[in-house]
Amino acid sequence: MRDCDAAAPLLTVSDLCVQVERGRGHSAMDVLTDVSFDLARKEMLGIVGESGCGKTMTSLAIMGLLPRGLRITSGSVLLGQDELVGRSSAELGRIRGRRIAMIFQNAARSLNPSFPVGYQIAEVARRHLSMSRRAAAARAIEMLDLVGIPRATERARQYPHEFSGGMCQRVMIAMALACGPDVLLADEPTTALDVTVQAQVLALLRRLQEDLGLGVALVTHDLGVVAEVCDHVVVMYAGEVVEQAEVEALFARPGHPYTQGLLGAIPRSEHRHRPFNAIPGAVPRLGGWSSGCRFGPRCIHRSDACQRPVALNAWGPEGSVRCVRVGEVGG
Amino acid sequence: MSVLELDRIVKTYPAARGLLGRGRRRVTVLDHVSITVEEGETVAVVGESGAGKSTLGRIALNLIRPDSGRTVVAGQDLGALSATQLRRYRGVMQMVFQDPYASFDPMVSLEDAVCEPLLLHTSMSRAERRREALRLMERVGIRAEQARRFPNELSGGQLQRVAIARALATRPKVIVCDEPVASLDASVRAHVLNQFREIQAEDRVSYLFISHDLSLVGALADRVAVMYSGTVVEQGSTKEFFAQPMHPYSRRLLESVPEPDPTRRRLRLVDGALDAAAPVADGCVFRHRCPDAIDACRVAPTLLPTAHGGMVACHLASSVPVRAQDPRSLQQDNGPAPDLGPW
Repeated sequence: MRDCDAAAPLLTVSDLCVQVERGRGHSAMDVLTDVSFDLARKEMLGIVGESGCGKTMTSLAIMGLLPRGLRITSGSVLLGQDELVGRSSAELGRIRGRRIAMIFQNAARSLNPSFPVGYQIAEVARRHLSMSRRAAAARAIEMLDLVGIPRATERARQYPHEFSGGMCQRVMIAMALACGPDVLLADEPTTALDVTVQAQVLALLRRLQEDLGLGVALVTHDLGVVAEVCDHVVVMYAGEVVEQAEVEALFARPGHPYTQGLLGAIPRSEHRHRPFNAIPGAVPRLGGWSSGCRFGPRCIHRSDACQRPVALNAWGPEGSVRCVRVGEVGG
Repeated sequence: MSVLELDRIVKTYPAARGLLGRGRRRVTVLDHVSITVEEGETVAVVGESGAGKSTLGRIALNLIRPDSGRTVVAGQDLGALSATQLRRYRGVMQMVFQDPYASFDPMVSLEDAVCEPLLLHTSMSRAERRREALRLMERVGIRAEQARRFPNELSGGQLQRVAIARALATRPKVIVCDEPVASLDASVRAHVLNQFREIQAEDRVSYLFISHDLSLVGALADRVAVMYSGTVVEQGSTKEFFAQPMHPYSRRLLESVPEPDPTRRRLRLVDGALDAAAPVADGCVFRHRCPDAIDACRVAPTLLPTAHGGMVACHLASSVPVRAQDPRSLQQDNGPAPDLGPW
């Protein structure tokens, strides 16, 4: 549900294109094409798709953390009123942490094993908020408490190896939120966790989002997670957005054949008595994208019209779908 | 007849030694675990990481030896075999692991990889082996012209199907599958799962299917064993288990599975300082995390039969399914359980 009072979204991504350079004699290759969505205050936006569809590249591009060789070629990323595309890395460094933060799948590997977790959280507060050592240490304990780590004062002095996977992810969340950002990008934050721990971390994200008024973009491949916690969903395939919708609309009437395929591929009890549903073929590799509809080669509904590039068409309440036959097929 | 019988398996490892190198403590990884798999049956082993699932799978294959307990495969006690006899016997049991790229030699073509078990376990000629390898690969949907390729030339889903073909080469009775589809994308996972199923229908092969994905287990397995901290806390038929989990840990697991239906959000978003499975020296392994723990839980419960033909290790098992504060469980006797996940 979009927040009514938030007139302007916290984060607006429009027509974002990212390419990878391939050295002399080769043309640059598209990694992301015209990716657009926005994120409102108190909104949990799910970004879904299989591996290789550009989910992680989208969040890295927003953060200005694209790997070497990849660059944003056009489009815009507005954080509030401020354009992030084209900023110097020093400027981005001041914005990251304070206004926008990111957490990753492998929390344990994102922490420095040689320093106590409290120190690592305090470091962020000292750098971005110019806090004193003492104030930053107090802030670290406050943050650990906020993310539900018991005996925070004591735990702040411990090292990452003394924390379980779920606890490490809580520490990462504490670190990401230490400087009070409005936007949190969470890239598969619960994928490596056990299902019981995953439920706790999702609950934590949901609570923090409401209490602190965060906008959270949750990158995930798990549609169950999306159904449980997200308000709005962006489905990506081969570097572009193929569908976006409110979560209930997406699950009730998926417009794009790829979304339909993903939903159909979830194992359910009826598959005890009939085969599991697959989507024919596999996600195309980078550079192997069709010039028309990128899902076309795998689509059971493809027609001649799918040979040409497809634009996003309105679908359902507030939704849009990149399919020429939207409404005719499945749903 | 049971094809695989794991009987009171115990496995311990030495604990990390202290600074003085005198630590003689041992950590119990598996504590009297018993699981049987019947012919043509799929038994899923579920539980969180560190519960001992993979260790159990490796013991079933005799890749590691248990401290005590028996592993009986197709009537043969593996502990009684010499190394040479065991090697000859290995054809009866095969395995498929999580990461297909790590299970193949990158320098060996797929065809040669599938031929290798035939070389070891049969007396086929080179031409016969080649023909058989192609037949096996065709069975899992790999075309002859792909057989000459190398592992890195295939997608994860295709390569996992070759892994299945290779496992089938020796006509095994039981295949241990350790998270075989966990690394695969949603849209290709189904191909591999269907393959597992077709093969079982044709060959009556049995699977010990290790997985953390409960939705998948619910659709695929005949029986489920839930492991927690090295012990089996509950086992029973998949249908009964999903309709009426008896152990508090089983219920916690099922409640944690996100349901792909936004109109029925039911994740207990009770966020709090839970977590941290403290090691338990005595008593019930789950008691520190158990919402229902009572004094009696200081004594370890034994695995006892339930009314529905399953087994559960919980002192409260008789009172667990009907809890006054949980109206859902009261309805469970009449009709399908309404809210426990997709089942």
